[in-house]
Amino acid sequence: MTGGGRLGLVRDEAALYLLLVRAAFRSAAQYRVSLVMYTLVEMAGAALDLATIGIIFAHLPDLDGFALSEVAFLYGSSALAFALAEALVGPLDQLGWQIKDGRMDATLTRPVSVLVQCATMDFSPQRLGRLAQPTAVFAVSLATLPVDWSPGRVAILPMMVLCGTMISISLAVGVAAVLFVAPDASVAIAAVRQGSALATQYPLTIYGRRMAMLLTFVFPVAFVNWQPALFVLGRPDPFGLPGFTGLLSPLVALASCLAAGIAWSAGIRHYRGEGG
Amino acid sequence: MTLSSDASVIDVSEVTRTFVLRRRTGWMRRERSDVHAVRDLSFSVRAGEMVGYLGPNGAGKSTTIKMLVGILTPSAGRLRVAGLDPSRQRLRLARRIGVVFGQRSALWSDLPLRDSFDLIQRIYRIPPARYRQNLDEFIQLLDLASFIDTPVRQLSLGQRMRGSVTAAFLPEPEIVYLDEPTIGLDVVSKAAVRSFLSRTNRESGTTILLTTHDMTDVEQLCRRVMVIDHGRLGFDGTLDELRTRIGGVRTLRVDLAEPQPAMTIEGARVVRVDGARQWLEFSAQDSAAPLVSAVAARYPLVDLAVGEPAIEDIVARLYTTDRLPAVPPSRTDPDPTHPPSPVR
Amino acid sequence: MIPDRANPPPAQANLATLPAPAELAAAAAADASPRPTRLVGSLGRLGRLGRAWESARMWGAISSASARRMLRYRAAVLASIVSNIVLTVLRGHLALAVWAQRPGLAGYDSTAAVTFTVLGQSLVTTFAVFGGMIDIPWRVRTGSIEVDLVRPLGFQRWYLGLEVGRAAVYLASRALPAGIVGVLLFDLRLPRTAGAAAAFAMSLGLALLVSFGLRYLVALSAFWMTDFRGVQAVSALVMMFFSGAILPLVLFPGALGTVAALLPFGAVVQTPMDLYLGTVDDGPVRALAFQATWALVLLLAGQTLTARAIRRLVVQNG
Repeated sequence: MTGGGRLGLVRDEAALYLLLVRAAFRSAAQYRVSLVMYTLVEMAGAALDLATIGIIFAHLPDLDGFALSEVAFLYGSSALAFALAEALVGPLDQLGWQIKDGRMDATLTRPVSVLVQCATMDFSPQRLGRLAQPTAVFAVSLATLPVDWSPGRVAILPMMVLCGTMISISLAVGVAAVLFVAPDASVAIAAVRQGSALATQYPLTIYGRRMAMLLTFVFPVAFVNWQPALFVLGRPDPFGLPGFTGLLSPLVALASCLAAGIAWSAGIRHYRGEGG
Repeated sequence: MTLSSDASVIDVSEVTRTFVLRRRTGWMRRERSDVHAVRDLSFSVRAGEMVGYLGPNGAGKSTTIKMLVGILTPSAGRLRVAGLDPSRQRLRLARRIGVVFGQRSALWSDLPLRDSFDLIQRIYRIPPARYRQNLDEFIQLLDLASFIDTPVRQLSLGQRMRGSVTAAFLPEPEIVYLDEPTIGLDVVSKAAVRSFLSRTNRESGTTILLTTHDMTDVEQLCRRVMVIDHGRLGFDGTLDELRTRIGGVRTLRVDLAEPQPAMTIEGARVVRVDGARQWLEFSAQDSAAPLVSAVAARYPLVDLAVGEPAIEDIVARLYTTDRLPAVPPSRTDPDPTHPPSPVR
Repeated sequence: MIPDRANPPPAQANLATLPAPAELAAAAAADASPRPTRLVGSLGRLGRLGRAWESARMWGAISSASARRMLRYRAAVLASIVSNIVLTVLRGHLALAVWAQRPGLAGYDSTAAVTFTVLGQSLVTTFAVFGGMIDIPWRVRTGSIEVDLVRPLGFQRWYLGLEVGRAAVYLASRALPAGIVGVLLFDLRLPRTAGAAAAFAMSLGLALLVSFGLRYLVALSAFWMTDFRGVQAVSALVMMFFSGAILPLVLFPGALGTVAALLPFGAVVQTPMDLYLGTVDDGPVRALAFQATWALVLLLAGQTLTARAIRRLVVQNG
């Protein structure tokens, strides 16, 4: 890959990414029935999460002081960020199998960045289908939130989704980097995905102060949606963090992307191949 | 031995197996066509025999083995193995046979080889003393000692095959089927597997049916050969009979002092010239001696060697024509455009 | 082009691959002692008790091999221990929050609710409520299923044997560590009586059978379907939701609750939990009978379907 310095490199990679995605779409179109079925399954799965919230609110007027529309807002923004992340980089748990089956060696010798290859490896249109339900919930919650929509609050919404997506991509990539050293640990990726989705779908207060601090400062999933949401909802931080914390999401997102990038390249450096 | 040596343990009579192929020809339309994997197959194998089952890829070898172990039913015909109907009495038969399915292994890939053997002892209820005796013997014969405690997934193809062969023979089955036991193996593993098979057949009287591409397997192991192609049995007899049936040829390679035009020698035919080296074909029934002296009398001879005919070529000839072709076909699969014309 | 057949002469090349004659002679000498008759003939000597014992040892060995195979993947075991602890702690907190606001909801106090969540999570992993864990689809696709069919053991039983080993590993490596952390972080309840503990233990065995029965049926569908993942995903969702693992089935409103209570999925998580907490409506015997009935129905259905699946394979070859 030549030309254009660092920016050119990024542009080349983006073009390759789109190329690989287009190829995946074409091959997936061969299996239309499966595609429809998977999309329905995905929607049903997402509906179960919603059903859980529905059942809770069938018995409670509010959860830790948060009304249904507010919890829906948290759920929608979290689910949207994680779905976007997965649509872009895919389920990286496949990486572990790639490494175990010895297919990784071929990947490493191709002149396309390993991350782009892994992200597009089994790109399927259903990854985009996953966006439908979170988007709908997010939109409905926005319509029902008892919030006075100032320009500042409106402006923070796209930032919230963007930063949330960046943070969840970083988490996935960071954990996936471990697979280069311990390819068996694929479970960890799904676990982090499930765990951080679960942690961000509900008000952080229900997990107690210790857990909340862990999820704010160590695994910064609080910045996926919780902190900006507090700002949008006009609520003070229940744990006494300053009011501007919610606006720090872009910084946290950049920092976590950087950390994930370092972890990823360290992982590739430590890759020794599946020498049996 | 509990079985008398002339009782037949495998009886196949007029067995046909048809597969239905469905091909998608349009959005909803499908075309149906019947393919005969095996057609009117008849043979029987006596207890204690070791039979080589030859044929090119897709000839029907694996289909035959699947029917013999009971995981495929014949579309027509009758099949008996050890007096049982394989597909109806599959589980009862399973105790009495051993199978090696090429690369598809019955071994536990994540566990050390030894663990798979220990499990076989439990499943087949091999008395502990007998099991230890057998295993020790197999370890020695197949040279397993260096890798018996290594997880199977880390073994080479040859080591894995030696493990699979051990697994198949540990319960001391009456009949063992091996599907391509030497394909892709290293030289050491091939030799170990061959000498093991020949020894077990000789000393335990185990009936063995092996399919193979490798003619050396047959030359070294099997007194009896069956040749199948396009689902039909084209030959059933000894290797020597096969050679004479085809009217086999042998090759004389001569190195001359300097390049010469193709020699003209009575009773032989030059088939290839490469610089000072020439290859002559002559009938397998003739002795090489008069030919050698005829060559030596007329040409400045440096070196020579006599080669046996390769069985690939014999098989190919068996199916392409019943006459000796003008130029022997090269070592490839028989031409699929030729309709099979069995010589039976 | 004619291959160079004369150089080296095949006969000579073959000699090199054969073991030295001395080796063969030595090997033959080692086997000079006459061999006893074949094993097949010697099987009948064991008494009935001896056979049962041998059979038990065989199934033990099969389950143990299945368990050891899993433990070989140490990083995977470690990762799942950690992730299971995290999920358990998060779910426990959610339950606490709900019950703190509505104590006595669904007849549980908050201690019972947290216990339900922590132990429920343990049961989910042990009984693989998330689906799969039976190798059949992969083996059908790769053709390895043929190896299963030449084994002198019933197909369904073989996979049950493997499942017992898997469940044991999951219990030890996922359920127990998460349970221990649960005890340390939350106020959990122990079974009130020895009878409740015994009933719980029994119901664990039955829950394994029900869970296996369900997943085995799903796995068998791979014999008929080329693309199996859809069925797998749907079944996993249904199992998860109706097992009581996400929310206790008593919380399901109206008709949904009535249906959920009758389906087999509750026998995997809800029933053992009720027996543990002593919250069964009609006594432990009825609850165990509910599980046993479903176990029987599912295993019999599995047996019937196995025969059809094998027939399909044997007759049509896939």
